[in-house]
Amino acid sequence: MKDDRSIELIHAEIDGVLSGGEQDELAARLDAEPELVVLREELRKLSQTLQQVPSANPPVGLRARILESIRPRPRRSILASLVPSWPAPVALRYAGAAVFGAAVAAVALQIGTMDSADPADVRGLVGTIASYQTPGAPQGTIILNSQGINGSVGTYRQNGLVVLDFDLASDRAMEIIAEYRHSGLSFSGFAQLAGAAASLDAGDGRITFLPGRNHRYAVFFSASDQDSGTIELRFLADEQLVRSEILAVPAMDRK
Amino acid sequence: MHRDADAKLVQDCQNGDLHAFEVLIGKYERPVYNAALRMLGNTDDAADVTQTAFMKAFEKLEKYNPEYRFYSWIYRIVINESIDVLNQRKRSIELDETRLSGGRTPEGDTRDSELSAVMQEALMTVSEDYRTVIVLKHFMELSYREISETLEIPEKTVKSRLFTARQLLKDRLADKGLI
Repeated sequence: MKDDRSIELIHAEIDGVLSGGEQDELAARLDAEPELVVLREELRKLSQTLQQVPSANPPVGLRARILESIRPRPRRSILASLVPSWPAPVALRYAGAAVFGAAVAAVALQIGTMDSADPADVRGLVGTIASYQTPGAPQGTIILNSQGINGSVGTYRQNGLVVLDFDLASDRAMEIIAEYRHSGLSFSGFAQLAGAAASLDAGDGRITFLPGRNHRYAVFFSASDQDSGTIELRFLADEQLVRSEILAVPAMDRK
Repeated sequence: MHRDADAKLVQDCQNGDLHAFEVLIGKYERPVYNAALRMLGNTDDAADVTQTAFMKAFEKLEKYNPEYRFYSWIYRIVINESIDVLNQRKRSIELDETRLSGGRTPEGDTRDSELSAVMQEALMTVSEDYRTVIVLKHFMELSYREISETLEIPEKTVKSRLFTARQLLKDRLADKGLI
């Protein structure tokens, strides 16, 4: 009979972890049970076959890709320039800011210029604000490296703002939909830091923007209460869903 | 020695020596890629997952617990990433047929292609839990204890899964006339 102990001994033998005493025990069991001899032979063959499967060579250039992805890059933080409590950026470049909402507008004024925009119409709002300081680590990060999308989405939170920082490259034009289920969040602004011009639609609980293939954008939310919630990000190419991710937004901490 | 050397490299990296991480990549790129490949059965996805695994390891290096072996840690990351990709495949509403059918399968152009392809096909028929222990035991050559550490499950569970996985795989390969 193929009892558990006999089976365990056969596997242990295959894995080379059988003690001397166990070897004797297995031999006795094999003598008494021909079925075990068959099983042992089959499992040995399996093990040998697995051993014969060749190890594959990683694709040429993979190591370079990995190294490129971890190489420190000068992070151009919009947060450093937009949130007053953080240190002033080393350098600012501004090319037509189009952010709105009290918190963001105040900062836009601080840096000295701002295009006027009807707060009710956020279509086509695009701005570029850049510095070379990163104020801190993101509170959450999603790494995207599949299905033609590479890069990361970071979540920052400070002074009543929640910021989604998209630093992505894709092999085709991408539509990104952010649906948020959080009673305390409201859309507050949008900024483009690098890449081609993007357009934007924002409504209750949903933001859609159409970036190019290489882009760095940030979407700002005012965060007004203590509730937690989620933001679902959907990435579409040619109107087809290629990726979706859920970002948790914890309750706000105003400290 | 192996463990100490890795621990030193991790420590150097934590102290800001990027070259130390390059050495770790050089050392583990191939096994990590092969683990992903055997979990996923697709070279493109395996390359993506390998890249993501190293990126995540690099980003979380400060949280790395030196009590564990580096390779246990990086294997855990690559297995988890692979399972995420498998789950995404299941969820995807727009399935790419070439990906589903395996796309570029492992070693597609070599003389070992038949063995490799049949083995991969058989591996893909067993559940992720069983495939994982087969990959870690037979392709990564980890001990029961190391698998237990990597997957954070008891050794008893490792053995139980491994025995069942082998039985299933043996039956699949017998059906295909490979053993």
